[in-house]
Amino acid sequence: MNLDLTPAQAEFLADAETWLAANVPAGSYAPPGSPEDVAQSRTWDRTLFDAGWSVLTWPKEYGGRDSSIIDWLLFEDAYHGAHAPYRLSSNGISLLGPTVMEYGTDRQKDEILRPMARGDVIWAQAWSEPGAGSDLASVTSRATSVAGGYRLDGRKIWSSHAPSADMAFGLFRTGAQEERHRGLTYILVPLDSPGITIEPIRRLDGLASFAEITFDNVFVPDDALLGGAGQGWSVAMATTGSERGFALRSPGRIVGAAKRLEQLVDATTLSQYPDLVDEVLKVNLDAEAFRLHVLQSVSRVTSGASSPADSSLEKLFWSELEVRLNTLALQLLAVTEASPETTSQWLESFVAALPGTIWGGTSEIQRNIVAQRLLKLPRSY
Amino acid sequence: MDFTPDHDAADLAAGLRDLLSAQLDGLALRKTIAERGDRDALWRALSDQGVPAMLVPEQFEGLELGWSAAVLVLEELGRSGAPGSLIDVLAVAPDALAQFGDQFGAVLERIAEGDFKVGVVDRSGRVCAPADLDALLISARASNGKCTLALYAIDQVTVQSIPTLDEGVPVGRVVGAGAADLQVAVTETESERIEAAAMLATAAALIGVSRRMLSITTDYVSQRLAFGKIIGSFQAIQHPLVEVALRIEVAAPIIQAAAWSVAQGRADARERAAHAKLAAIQASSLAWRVCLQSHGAIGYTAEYDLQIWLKRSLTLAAQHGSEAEVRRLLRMLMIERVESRNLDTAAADVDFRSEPAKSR
Repeated sequence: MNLDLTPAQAEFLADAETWLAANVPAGSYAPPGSPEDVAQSRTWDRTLFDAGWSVLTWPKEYGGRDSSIIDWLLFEDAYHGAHAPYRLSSNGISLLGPTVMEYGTDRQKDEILRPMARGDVIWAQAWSEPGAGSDLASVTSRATSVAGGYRLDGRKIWSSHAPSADMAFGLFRTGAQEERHRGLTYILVPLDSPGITIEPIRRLDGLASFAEITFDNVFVPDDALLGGAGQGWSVAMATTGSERGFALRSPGRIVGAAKRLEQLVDATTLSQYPDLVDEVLKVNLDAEAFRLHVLQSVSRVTSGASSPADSSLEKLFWSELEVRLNTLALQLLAVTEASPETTSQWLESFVAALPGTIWGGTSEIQRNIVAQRLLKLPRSY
Repeated sequence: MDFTPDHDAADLAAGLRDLLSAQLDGLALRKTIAERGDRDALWRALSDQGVPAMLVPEQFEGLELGWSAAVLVLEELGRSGAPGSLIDVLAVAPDALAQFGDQFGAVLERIAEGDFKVGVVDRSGRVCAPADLDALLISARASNGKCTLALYAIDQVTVQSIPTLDEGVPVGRVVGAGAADLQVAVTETESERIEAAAMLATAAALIGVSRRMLSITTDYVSQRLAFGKIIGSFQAIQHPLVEVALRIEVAAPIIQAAAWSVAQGRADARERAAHAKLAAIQASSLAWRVCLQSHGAIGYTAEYDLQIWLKRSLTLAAQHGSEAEVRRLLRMLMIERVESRNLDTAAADVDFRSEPAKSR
């Protein structure tokens, strides 16, 4: 146990901070999901990739640095401390990337990983359907075997970044509906394939950041499969493993937001609104608690003693905390004098925080998982 | 930065868990709560294992295991339901005395041997299980602001009993004291260290108490049938218990981090220890509430064991930093930080007003 940085870690963090200070784009960003935003995002990914910061923990051959998870956490602290942009590539890098490394053929690894990390190819997730959300094993979109490949039919929904993405990764049914999770296959598909229609969906602030994708007789070749036919569930669970793995639970974003929240506390708040001061205190303490818990999980994973429910506990904790934090920011903004720019940033942050308790397994699903795996209680459904 | 736990400490805690199980499981716990003779036997068993020496420096015949190990030991004591003032006697007092080894060396040697039990009066004047103690440590602040730490033989102190629910840990308030055996002047930093260690020690024990309540409850809901089903299969039962588990799991690394900070004598030790105490209190208050509810009426009976740890939660939450006190401390530290930043910002506004602000 040592909460201090080693000299090497301190040097690494200083390098990251120096680079970010010089390279994080100044000025305001285009609205998320707008064409300008997509262009800016690709440029930013390329800048990160060229300097070796895009995918730190990946092997060198795919553009990473083989960094330790701790170094990556330090980079995340610096990244969010510098208020660097959200990355459109994050779905691919966090969810698909680790799965390709585990299940992909050599050719798939070569073709997919570097362009993903460089922002050349943006990936969207095509899992949920109008009739299959939390109950993912009930998907009905079909992949029918034809000469040289498969024909895809069906509808996928809530697909993040699909309006601007180049490719999608998804689960399709190759077996019978009654087989549930045993009859699924993991398929990679270009979004400009004939037969694909993308209908953007506007989230509650009006921005079209996700979409419904309709597949009508869409052909994909055999090598579009990741893992074997019928293996989709275990391949996808490897992805949800990484989704709730460290990539999406780095404390940097939460800790950075908690620090910015504390900056909203001014003399008026201190003297007039003690209740809000107490709430800020609670959120700050919880952000630090989350940081420490992730550090503990990292050491457990590194020493091969990971706890079966850590990822679900942490997803529950950060997603609920992020909603509380952003709701509290709005309460503070109602009684303090913040610039319009600061206010806009918090509104965007608030809207972005809301779906955290829904995607990647809702809070209710996470509680079911913790009940079964940690408390050893019987399945409830 | 490295959160790898100390495996020797974990082994030590596991060994202690077995010892405490052997001493206290089943009806033995109720007997130990009721009988002084059984408490003395428990003390001898702990002494045979060197537990009273865990925080005594090696120069005074101690084991000097450090706080990272001590918090695991204290968690086991909490889990076991062991009665009395063991948290003060095994951890808070030896740690405080060790800050003044020159003066208290002889006392520390007797503690390490297991033949001298020193309790600690907390900042609200409360002391746990005074009847089992040989001596008491009392911190005092004179009207001129000077702090002292004094050791009193137990017969030199007048203690008034405070009504509590927890039969295992009677609590008293010190209302008068005769002559101190030994007295030292204490700096603000040393005083804060003693306060931090006391918050940390009770936090660690509380986590053990909460874990025990949770395990009693998961066992119960895993066998109780209603509507033809195991009630533990209902989400209405499961999800509140998951919140309890979450609060416990979140508190544990805060306690580890605070233990490291206290052991290293870091400037943030008091803030981390207060955070640890707050997190432990929040976990235990949710735990006893949810666990009691999950049992239905049986949990409300004297016959069923849950009440032992429910009451212990109340004792430990109040001792050495209650929820209101640790919140007040943490609030004060945050306000100091915000005010000093606001001053910096005001100064920066004057100096750099012409610089355009970076917008993002």
